[in-house]
Amino acid sequence: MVTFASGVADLLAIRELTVTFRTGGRDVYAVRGVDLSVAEGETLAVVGESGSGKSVTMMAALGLLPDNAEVSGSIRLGDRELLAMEERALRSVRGAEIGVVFQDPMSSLNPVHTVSRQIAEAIRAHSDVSRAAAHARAVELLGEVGIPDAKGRADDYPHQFSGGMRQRVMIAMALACGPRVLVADEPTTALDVTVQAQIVDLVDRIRAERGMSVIWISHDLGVVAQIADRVTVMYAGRVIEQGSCADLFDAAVHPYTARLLRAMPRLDAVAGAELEVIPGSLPDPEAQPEGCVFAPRCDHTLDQCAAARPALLPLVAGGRHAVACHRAGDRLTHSQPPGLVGGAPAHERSAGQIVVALDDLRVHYWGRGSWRRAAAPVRAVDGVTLGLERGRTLGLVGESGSGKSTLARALLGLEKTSGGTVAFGGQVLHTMSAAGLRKLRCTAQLVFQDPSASMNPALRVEDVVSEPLRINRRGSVAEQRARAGELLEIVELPRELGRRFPHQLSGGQRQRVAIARALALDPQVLVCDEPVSALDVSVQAQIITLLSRLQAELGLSLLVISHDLAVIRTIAHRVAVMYLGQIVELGSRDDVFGGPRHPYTRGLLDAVPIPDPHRRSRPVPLAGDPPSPVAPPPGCRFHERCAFARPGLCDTTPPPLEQQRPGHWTACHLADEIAASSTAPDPVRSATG
Amino acid sequence: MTARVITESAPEPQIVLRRSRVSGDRTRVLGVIGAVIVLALGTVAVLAPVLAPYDPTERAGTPFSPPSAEHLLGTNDVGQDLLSEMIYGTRVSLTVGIVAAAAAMVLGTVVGLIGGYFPRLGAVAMRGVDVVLILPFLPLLIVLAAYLGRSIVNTVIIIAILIWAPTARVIRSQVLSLAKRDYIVAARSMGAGHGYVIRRHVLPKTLLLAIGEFVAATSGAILLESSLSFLGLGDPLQESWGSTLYWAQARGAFLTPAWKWWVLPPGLLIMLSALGFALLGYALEQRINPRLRRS
Repeated sequence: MVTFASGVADLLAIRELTVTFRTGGRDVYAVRGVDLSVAEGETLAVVGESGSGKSVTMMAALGLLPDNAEVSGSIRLGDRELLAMEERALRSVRGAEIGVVFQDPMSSLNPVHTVSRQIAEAIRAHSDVSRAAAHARAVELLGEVGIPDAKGRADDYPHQFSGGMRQRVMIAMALACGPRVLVADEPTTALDVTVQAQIVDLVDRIRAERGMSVIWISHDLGVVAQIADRVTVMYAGRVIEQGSCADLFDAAVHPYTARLLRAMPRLDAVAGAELEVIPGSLPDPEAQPEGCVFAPRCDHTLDQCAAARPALLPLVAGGRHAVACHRAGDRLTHSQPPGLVGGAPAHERSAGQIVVALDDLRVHYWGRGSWRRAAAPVRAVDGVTLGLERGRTLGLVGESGSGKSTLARALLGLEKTSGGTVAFGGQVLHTMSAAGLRKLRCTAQLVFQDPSASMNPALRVEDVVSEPLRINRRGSVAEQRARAGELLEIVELPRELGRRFPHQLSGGQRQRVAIARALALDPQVLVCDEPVSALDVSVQAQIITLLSRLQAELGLSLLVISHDLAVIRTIAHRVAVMYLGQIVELGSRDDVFGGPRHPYTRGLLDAVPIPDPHRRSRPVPLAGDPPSPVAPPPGCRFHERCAFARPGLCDTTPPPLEQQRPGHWTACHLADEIAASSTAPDPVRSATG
Repeated sequence: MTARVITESAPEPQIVLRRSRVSGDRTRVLGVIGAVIVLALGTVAVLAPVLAPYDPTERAGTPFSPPSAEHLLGTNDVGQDLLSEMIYGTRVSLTVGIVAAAAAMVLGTVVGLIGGYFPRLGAVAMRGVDVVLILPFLPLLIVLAAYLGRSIVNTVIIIAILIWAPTARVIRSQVLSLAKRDYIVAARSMGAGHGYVIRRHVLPKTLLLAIGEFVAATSGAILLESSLSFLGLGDPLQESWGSTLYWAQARGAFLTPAWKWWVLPPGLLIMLSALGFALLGYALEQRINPRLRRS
C-alpha cells in the first residue's frame, strides 16, 4: 500500500487482494494483488477493460463472491477487517455502510414490488423503524435522487419507470441507510448519454451533500474524467497506475494508460484524427505470468519486464501518482507507431451515387390490444427519407428507442414496412419476388452489436464465415472453405483460426469473424448495428480501423448505427440524428458535429463526457427521457424536452426536415434563431475542422 | 524483492480466508444411479430367454406355491413361474414405455418446433397442447382403452397421446428463445429459408433437449402402462408387470401371504424402472436444458 501525503484517513483500504476462482480443476486468476483505498468524501474511479478484475475486487469487499472464489489479502473498512467477518456481521456492513449500485437497474429491482416497498425493505433490514416511517423515508430518498412527484410515484412498480429513473431508484436504495461508501459498478453503461449525464451529476451532488465516498467502477474514461478525484487503472487483475485525475489524464506514465487514452474515440479530437490501436488482447486469466501483465502488448519492454512483476511505486517519494512499471522513471515518449492508424478520411469527394434510398419509410408494430379495441401502434420508424452514398459511411445516432435498429432491419428487408419504400438502385424492396429478394440480400449485409450472439456457438469459425456461401449454394464445400480462409485474412485473422469455435476467440476477434462473414457475398452495403459497443476501448479502435480500411479497399457503403457520438464522429462521412422514429438532423460530419442546428443534437453533444478533467463545467444536461413512441407528442416530437420550444408553434406544427444550409438538413422551426442567439462556440466544437 | 508491493505503514498480517468450496456434483451421481438401473433392466429384457428359468406361459409347478428352490418367487394361480413372468414382463414394460415415449417425443418436438418457430401458428397449436394438459388422465385412459380395444399397439398410442404435451411445451420455449437469436437473424439476412434455419440452427440444439425429455417421459409411460394393465386394459396376450398385479388382485393375493412374492416384486420393479428413467432424465435435463443449467 502506498501511503499518500494527503494525510486524509483511508475509509476503505484494500491490500494485496487476490481472488482466484477454482472451477473444475482450472484456476482463473481474477485479481492478482490489488492495492487501493478511498478516503472520506472522495470519488475514486476504478478503470479497466473487461476482465481487468475491477468488479471482482468490489464484490470481494462486499463479500458477494460465489463459493468457488478463494480470497486472500486484507480489506479494511475503518478499523474493521471485512474479510475476517462472519456473514451475519458482513450483512450489517453491506447496505448500511457500503451501498451498491449495479449496472442494470431492471434486473436489480424486483418487478413485483413497488419501489417504495423495496427501499423501505432496505431501511428496515438495518434499522428498527416502523413501516410508516420507512415508507416516509423512502419517499424522501426518492425526492433526493430527483424523481419528480416522489410521493405520487413511490407506489409505482419498476417497469413504470424509465431506465434512468430506475437507476435513480437504485441509487435511492443504496443510500437508504446512509452508507459511508457508495460503490457504483458501471452505473451508467446501460443508459443513454443524456441520462448518463444526469446520473453523473446526481451522484456527484449527493456525494458532496452527504460527504460520503464514492467508488465508481467504469470502462468509460470520459465519465471518469468528469467525476473522479483519483483514478486507479486496473489491467488483468492488477493495479498498474494510480493517481489524481488530473495527473492521470495529463501525464499518464504507464504505457497501457497512455495508449488507452489515445485509443478512445473522443469528441474533442481533430476531426478525422486517427485512433491508436493497442495490438493483442488481454492475457489468459488462467495463466500466472512472472513479469508485468502488460509486457506482451507493450512497445517498451526490457528483459526485466518479462521476468519480474513491477511494484506499484510512487513516481516521487511520498507522491500520489503511483505506477507499476519498470520503466516508470524513463519518461517514455508514447509516440504513435506508424502503420497502426485508422479513422475515416475527411470528405474529399462530393456527394456520390445513391446505393440505397429510403423514402418516407415507416415501420409500425401493432401490439395486441384488448378484444374490444386495437392497441395503438408503436411508431418505431415514422417517415424516414435517407440516401446511402456509394463508398461512404452514413452514421446514424440517437438514444435507445429512437428506431435506429428497426430502420436498419427494414433496410435489409428483415422487418415488414408499414409505408414508404426501400430502394436498392432502382429496385423497390417490397415489390420484389422471393428470388429477387434473395439476390438482393447478397448486396446488403448486417454486422451485429454482440458478435458472440450473432454466431451459432456449435459451428466452427470457418463454417460461420462460409455460411452465406452455403445458404446461397456458391461453389463446392472445398471452395467455400478456401473462401472462408481468404475472408479471415481480409479481416486480419490467421487462417488457422477457422478450426476454432467462436467461444475460443476474444471479443475483438469474434467481431472480425462477424465482419468476414458479412463480406462473404461481396456486398455493396454493410449495415453495422452498434459494431463496437460490446467491445473494450482498445479493441474498438481495432474494429473501427478495420472497417475504414475495408471501405477504402472494397468500396463498401457503410451504415453505422451507434449511440456513441465519438465513434460516429471518427468513422462517418455523413451523420443522421434520429429522435423518436424521425430524422431531426442530417448533414456532413463536420456540419453536424461542428455546427449542430437542432437543439436535440446540441443536447446529445453536450451530454457526451469529455475525457479531460479540466473541462468539467458543461451545459445543463438534456432533462427528461424520450417520450413513448406509442403516443408521440404532437407538433415537434422534441418540444417537451426542448429549452427553446415556442408554445403555439412547436407543440402544434411538426417541423419538416429542410435543407436549411447547403447539404445540411434540419427539422426545427427555430434553428436560425437558436443559432443566432447561442453564445460563442464551445471549444469542443471549434476543434472540429 | 521486486515482486511485492512495498508497504510503508506497519506490515499487517497476511490473511488468507474464504477458501473456495466446490460442492460435489450430486446431479452426476444421481444420473449414474439412473443409468445403472436402466442398463440393468435393459439387459434383463434383452436376455430374458437366457435368464428366465421357465417359459412364463408354461404351467411349471403347483398353483399358489410359495417361493422355493425351483420357483424363487413361487407360482401364480395357474402354476406359472412368477420369476420368469417378471423377467419377461420387463420386455413388455420397457418396450411399451420406450416406444410410447419415443412417439410422444416425435409428436411433441414437431408441435413444439412449429409452435416456437411460427408464433402465429404456435399460438393455435399451444391451445391444443393446453387442452391435452388439462385432460383428466386416468378416466381418459380408461375410456380410450375400452374404446380402442386391448392391444399393445393401442396401449402405446393411448400413452403417447397423453404424454406428448409437456415435451411440446419445453421444446417450444427453447425454440422461441433460439428463434430470436442474432445468428438466426443473421442467417435470414443472408437469404436463408425457414427449412435451412430449422435444419441447421434450431434442430440440433432442440434434439438434445428432446432426448432428455424422452428419457424422462419413458418413466411416466412405464407407470401409465402398468396402470392400464393393472386395470385389465392392457394387451391380454402380453404379460407385463401391471397385468401380473391385475391377476394378483383378481385372485385375492393382496389379502393372503402371497403378496410378498406375487405383489411386491412387480410393484418394486415398476418403481425401480420409473425411478431409473426419472433419475437419468433428470440428470440429462440438468445438463441440457438451458433454463435449469447452473452457470
